[in-house]
Amino acid sequence: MSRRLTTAVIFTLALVASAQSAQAQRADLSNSPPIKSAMPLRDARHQLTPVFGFTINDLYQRNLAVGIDYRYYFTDWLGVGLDFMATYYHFDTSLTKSIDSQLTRPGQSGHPSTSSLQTLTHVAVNLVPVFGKFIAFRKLPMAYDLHIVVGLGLGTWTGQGRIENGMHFSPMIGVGGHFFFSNWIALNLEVRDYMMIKMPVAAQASATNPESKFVNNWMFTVGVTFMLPPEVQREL
Amino acid sequence: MRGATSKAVVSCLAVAILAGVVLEASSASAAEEKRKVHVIQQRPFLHRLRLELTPQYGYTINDTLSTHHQAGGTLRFHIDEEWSLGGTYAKYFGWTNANFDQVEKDFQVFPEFGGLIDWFAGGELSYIPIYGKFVLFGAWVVHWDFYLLAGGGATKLIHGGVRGTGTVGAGTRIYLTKWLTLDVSLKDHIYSVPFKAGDEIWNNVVFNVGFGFFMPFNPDYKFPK
Repeated sequence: MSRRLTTAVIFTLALVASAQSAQAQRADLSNSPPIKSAMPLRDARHQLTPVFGFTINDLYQRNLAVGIDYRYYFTDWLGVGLDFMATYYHFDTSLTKSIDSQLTRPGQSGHPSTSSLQTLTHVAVNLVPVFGKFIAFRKLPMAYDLHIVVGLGLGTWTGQGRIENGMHFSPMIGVGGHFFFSNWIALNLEVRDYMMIKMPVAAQASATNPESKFVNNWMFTVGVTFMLPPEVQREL
Repeated sequence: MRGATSKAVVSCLAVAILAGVVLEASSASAAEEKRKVHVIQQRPFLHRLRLELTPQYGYTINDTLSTHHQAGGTLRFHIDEEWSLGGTYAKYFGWTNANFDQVEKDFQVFPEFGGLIDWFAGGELSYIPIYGKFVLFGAWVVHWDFYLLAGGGATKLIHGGVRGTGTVGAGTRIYLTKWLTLDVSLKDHIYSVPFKAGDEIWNNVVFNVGFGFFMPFNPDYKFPK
């Protein structure tokens, strides 16, 4: 009987030790990942974004543009695709108006010859180093990402006055963010620099050979992103 | 037989007592675990009743004919977790840039430019509508907030006197420690600039970056986690 008692005691102590060990394992989160069961909002999905944009910090001409961006995300942080933008409206900046008013004489226009962006076509890569979630007004949770976009392509311009239409290589770099209203619809805000390796910007109305130079064309864009397929493959 | 029975009873009692100890230990552990679980997490960073001093560098991003750098600072008092009141001062260092010279060269005109700035001083009210977090390099959870601000003050132009100024802006604080933040913001200073043809409304959009020092340094919740 005493052997049985000894067995029972050993069994009970083993049970206690096992329960404590399991408890310790449950409580120890030091090796846990920062996010458990993360929602991979980009991984293996297509991204389609119609965008509206306008150039900023223009010296002579401001441009309004529309376009569409496409990406395929190989991982949650890397997407590759194509961007296309076309400008549809251009207008003079206050500097152009000022020069015009100073140089215009009776019977002779002083409006400077200028150029405006026409189309921008780029192979582009999105890098997403930062993503997370926030809560707005203490009530509205929202997922977001911050991304870097780089691209290489061609830009065309339309010339006015003595400047002719043209085309040149155009590297592009920008930063932006997606703000997800659902698992497949997001607001996309970006600031991009469409650089033109050589582009004539402005010249006197009477200029014969307008000078071309490297130009930064900053553009702010806003778009609505659709992530497809709409369902997210999530591992629980 | 009687002795065997009593031994069996003693054995059963001993096992029952040990089992009771096990159950008690498990239930205490479960209670302890339960006690640590909170439905609402405590914020890692508190604003209420704290002073924030932010030395800042600024750069005007919408200048086409001039370049302006700025050194300054903002002192804010946080009334609660969302609202704060503050004062700010910035000294500008500006000059006309290559575009200005190019316009002179290309068109033989002298652009009338009255926008060089000496300093700005003003007050502002700010509100934090958004509070969030992200994971950096898959390892660190970084907390941040987003704030809006509006205010007014005075801008001293180098050639044009002191101009009443309205300010609107937005920014974000990334929490580095319990008392230190990285503060990045955009602020539009709106004022009129005098020209020969009359005053013209001017937008001076400044990108600011600085470190925010919160005092007292180690505030804490009244109750522990």
